[in-house]
Amino acid sequence: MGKPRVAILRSAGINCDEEAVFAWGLAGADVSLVHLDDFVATPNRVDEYDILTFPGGFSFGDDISAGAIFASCIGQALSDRIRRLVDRGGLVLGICNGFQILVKAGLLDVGTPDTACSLTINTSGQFTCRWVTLESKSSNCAFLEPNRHYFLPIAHAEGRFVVSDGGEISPNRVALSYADGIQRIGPANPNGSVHDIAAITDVTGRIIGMMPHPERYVRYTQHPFWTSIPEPTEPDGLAIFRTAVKNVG
Amino acid sequence: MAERKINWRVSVRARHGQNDAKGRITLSELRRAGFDEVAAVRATRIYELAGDISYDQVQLLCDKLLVDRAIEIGAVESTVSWPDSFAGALVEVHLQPGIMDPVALSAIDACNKLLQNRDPSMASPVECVQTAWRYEIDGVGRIDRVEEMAQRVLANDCVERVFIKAFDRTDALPSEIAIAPVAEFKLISVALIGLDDDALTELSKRGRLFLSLPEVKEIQAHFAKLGRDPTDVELETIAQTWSEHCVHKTLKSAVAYAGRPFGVESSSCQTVERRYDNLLVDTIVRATEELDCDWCLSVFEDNAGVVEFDDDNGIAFKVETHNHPSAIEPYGGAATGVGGCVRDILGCGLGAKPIANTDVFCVAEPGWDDARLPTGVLHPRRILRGIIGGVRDYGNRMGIPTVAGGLRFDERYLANPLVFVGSVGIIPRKHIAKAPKPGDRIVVAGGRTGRDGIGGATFSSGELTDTHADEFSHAVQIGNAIEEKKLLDALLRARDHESGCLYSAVTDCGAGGLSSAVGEMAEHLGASVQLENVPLKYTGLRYNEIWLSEAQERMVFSVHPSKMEMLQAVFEREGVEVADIGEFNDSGTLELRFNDEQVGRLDLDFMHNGLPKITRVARWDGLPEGVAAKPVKITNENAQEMMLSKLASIDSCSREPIFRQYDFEVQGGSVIKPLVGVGEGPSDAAVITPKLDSNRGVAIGMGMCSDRIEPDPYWMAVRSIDEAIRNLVCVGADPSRIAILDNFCWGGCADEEAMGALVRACQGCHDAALAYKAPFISGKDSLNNQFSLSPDDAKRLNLPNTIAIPPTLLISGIGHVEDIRRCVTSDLKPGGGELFAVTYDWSSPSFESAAIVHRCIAALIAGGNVRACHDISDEGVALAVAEMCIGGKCGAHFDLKNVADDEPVKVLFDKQLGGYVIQVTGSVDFSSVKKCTNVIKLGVVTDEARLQIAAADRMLLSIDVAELDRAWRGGLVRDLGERTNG
Repeated sequence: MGKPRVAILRSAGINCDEEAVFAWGLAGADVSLVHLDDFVATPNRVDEYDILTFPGGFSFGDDISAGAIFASCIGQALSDRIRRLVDRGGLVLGICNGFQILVKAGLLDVGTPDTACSLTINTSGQFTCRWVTLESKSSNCAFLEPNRHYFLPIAHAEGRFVVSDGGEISPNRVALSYADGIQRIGPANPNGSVHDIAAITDVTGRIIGMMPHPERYVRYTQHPFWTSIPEPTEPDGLAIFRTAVKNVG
Repeated sequence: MAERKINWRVSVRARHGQNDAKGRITLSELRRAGFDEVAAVRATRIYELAGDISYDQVQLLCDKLLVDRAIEIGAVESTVSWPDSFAGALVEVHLQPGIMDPVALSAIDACNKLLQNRDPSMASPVECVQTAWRYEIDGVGRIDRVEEMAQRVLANDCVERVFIKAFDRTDALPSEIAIAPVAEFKLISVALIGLDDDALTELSKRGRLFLSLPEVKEIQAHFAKLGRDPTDVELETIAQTWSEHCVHKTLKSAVAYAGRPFGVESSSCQTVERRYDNLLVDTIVRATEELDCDWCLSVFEDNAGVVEFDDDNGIAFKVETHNHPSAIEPYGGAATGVGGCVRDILGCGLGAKPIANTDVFCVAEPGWDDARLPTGVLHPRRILRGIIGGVRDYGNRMGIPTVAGGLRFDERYLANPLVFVGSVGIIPRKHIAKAPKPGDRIVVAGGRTGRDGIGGATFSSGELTDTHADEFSHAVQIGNAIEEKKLLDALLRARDHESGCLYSAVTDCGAGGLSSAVGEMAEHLGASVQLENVPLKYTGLRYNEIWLSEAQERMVFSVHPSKMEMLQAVFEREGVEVADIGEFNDSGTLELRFNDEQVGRLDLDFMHNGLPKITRVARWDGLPEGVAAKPVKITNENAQEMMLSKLASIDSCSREPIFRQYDFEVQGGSVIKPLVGVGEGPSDAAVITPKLDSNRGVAIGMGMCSDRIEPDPYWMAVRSIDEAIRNLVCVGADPSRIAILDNFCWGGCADEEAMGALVRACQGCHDAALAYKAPFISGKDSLNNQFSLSPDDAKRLNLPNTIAIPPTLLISGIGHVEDIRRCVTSDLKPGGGELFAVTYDWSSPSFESAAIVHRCIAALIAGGNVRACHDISDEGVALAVAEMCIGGKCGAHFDLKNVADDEPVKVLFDKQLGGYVIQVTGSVDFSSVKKCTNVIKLGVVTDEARLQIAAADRMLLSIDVAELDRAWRGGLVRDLGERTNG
């Protein structure tokens, strides 16, 4: 198989698209930037790709709520095409605002009937930019190695994962959770997410939404204290893109 | 005022049991402002919709867009009314009519798109949306308390209006959305010819032109020659072009200086005289010319200065201030300040891509006594939280990392906070030159033009008073970062278009709006503008309002007619509106038309060169008394206590509560972040790599010396430059490749002493730039930062009638980093090593020794022996070492027995000591600096996290690093714990 073809969706206010292009390129993928309007106008263009990425940013200003307007643009026809991509072995990655979009577009659910989930304002009430330790538990995720720790940055105001009143999330949907690890300032869970959830997948493990930004740690010098540690064999963020490239198809 | 009837009102609130973040934040803000009686606050988001919308449609919008059903409940009502079930106080906060509401704009589009998605035959039923917040407040006992909290915390009446239902007050909620009135076209000319001096002065004042008498007389003479009176738009255009904000007439004036000498002679009592033909050109610009560095690619001619990055790219840097708008509406003022500075980067050459932002704030202490607040002044805490929010939201939303900044407190900033915002961009070298050509179309792109921000340039050129907030509320704006992000996306795609750049020149619409953007682009050509072609937010703007509006997020392009179609296609793709509003020609005049009428015809030579040149007199007879802060006596006995209190002080403590709110990682280029090391200590400067596949980097650092540390503006300027360079050298920048920018903020320059202070600072800039071989590439000034109190207030609060800011000079530096893998951070690294302080003394300054020290440290870093390096800032060696311990979670142990000074504590806390503290391994060679500087071997770095300092066997202090950390990190948390403004 040749290089997997990755489409990175952009729209007004998406702003982590270029570093996502760079990260997928390092991982060995063939990457294009595609405007959301092109997919909405011609949903079968999704068929040209193996992997879709919904990058971070403030799509449409995060007006109304984070990702809400982008999600409302996706519509039935495009959703159907995205599910078909997954059915044929494709992958979907939503990062930060992309995670919020996937949730609000109904492409990610918690796996239990009558329970809705969402991402809302951090308990601190503030936008927060810091590095966190994450733990992967699921053995059913195309992006992650099971039982591995990842050290990645988060940067969001609306990253607190919540489920509707009295609801529960099926444990096998939890892809990453905030964990103790490298000792940093502030609590391990940076936003008050229920069960420390940082990322979830769909039932196939092929659609993932995550608050942390793997595309921001694909080079040694992006690490917050690289000047006091030896160079790692592979930055944690790059590992996520490489695992996905390995598992596509 | 015209109206649209509100057809539906949708209210959205948190479900029971889910977190009501807005309510909780509001509660904590009310408590912080002293409303302790408040027991609970619930917040509800209101959307008011106008248009031919059915009940089913509004329900659909509720379910699919406006309400997040996992956590919120929505309610739809067809009438506007207060809920009657709540017993506490109800307060609704609406935007003032005409103030831009980005959420409403997004909501209109999103609602119509969603409805059309369901039914493609549908037109756009949603015509108008208005948003508001409703607060349900429990526990408040009196109506005046409700009114007070509305005014002080919930709303800013400059941009918002408040409706209250509490006790026996029930305000009527508006059942209509206000739309601006339609004005009839009427050409107005201003009777100027024949007026005497008094009448002219009165005209300038009444028309808020802020022109001096000689200036109005010059205009009068010009029009007398033409044999006619000017139209209103002509007069306003000239006033705007000649404003301090746009033309920097004080800094560019001729000056006759008499007073103390400069340089090392400055403390002598003799008097020298010096004449400058143009103060700016003869000092700051001259230094750059004399240095003549081949790596400076564009200096003082464009919206930003540009230096070389690599063979193909340059780096652009610009720093602006946005002080007056931030005093009145901190959030919007700071946000639009960022937006304006980013547009300067976009409008540099044919467009640079923004890669980093910077911010420096000067405010009064957030603990200021509420009872001592003059009328018309916002509380410093509210100002600080607002400006942080504005910088945060604009930068984060645009996806530009805010990487470096500063914060300074001084009560003299009470009524005039300073907000410095900077932006850095990368630009292909082939795109640095631009020139509009006759025959090019004049194209305005971006946001629509409204009545917002009219008169901003002239407003910022005068002084603030207690009634300014009312009189100039129209100059205050709210930004829309996504509009500007779209503009950025479109501009870069048009610049890099496959058939070549689609335009011949571009500039941003800043102060003065179209008048200055088109006026500047046409300066050596001519232009004809059809004002009715400018896209408007609402109908009814007069031609002069269209021309002078400072509505945000707009840029002007000059486009060859053959490229118009392609340009339009690129911009439409990104959702950016473009409009052809006229043509550049070679007439030498600026013609303004509105439909078939000519409303203005100005001679461009007069507009740009007609400003009468004046000679200012400047004096400086010595240091003002009583400015320098009284030093606290530090002895061997209280050194430990001193250390902790200095770390915790508001001047030195961690700025983390600010940085954390900024996305300093976006774009993936961060190499040295605002906080460094495992212990997250302070960084001296930021380093970013604008090209992710390259190891070349850019370092960004700042310097600002207070007049309380150095009262002579000459040395204040020198030390500010020195600090900026030191910070850059600390992280590994090459001191032979540092360029600097100046931002002067003065209280006023009306008197000879203030002018003398300005001359001394400019001369200091010149001398230091030459000595350090650091050229200035751009700069900006804001010289009217004083506030007139009402006489009652001055008496009541025992304050002077006028509060002026101290002379303030920000130096922003940008340095070249050849290989980012050689960068160094300030945190101590485990595994030992020795600590040295390499210092020079400002009480007997010499440029040479400082310059040699910078080069020596840079050489040591390049040699690879330096494991950590930190700037000794204004608080002395001990504080620098403590911060290094915090960052590295390592300790240090030293004994000052080898220090020559009799008083070891003087070495530890001396404010007059400049230089570096470095952690080194292996042998290092200080021979190049030994002759002119003091190299102190402090001691060793220990893995045990404890700082121990002894003096000749006597322990001065011994503190756990965890305790240092607690002291340093806590200082601002109380005031900045939770966010404001959305």
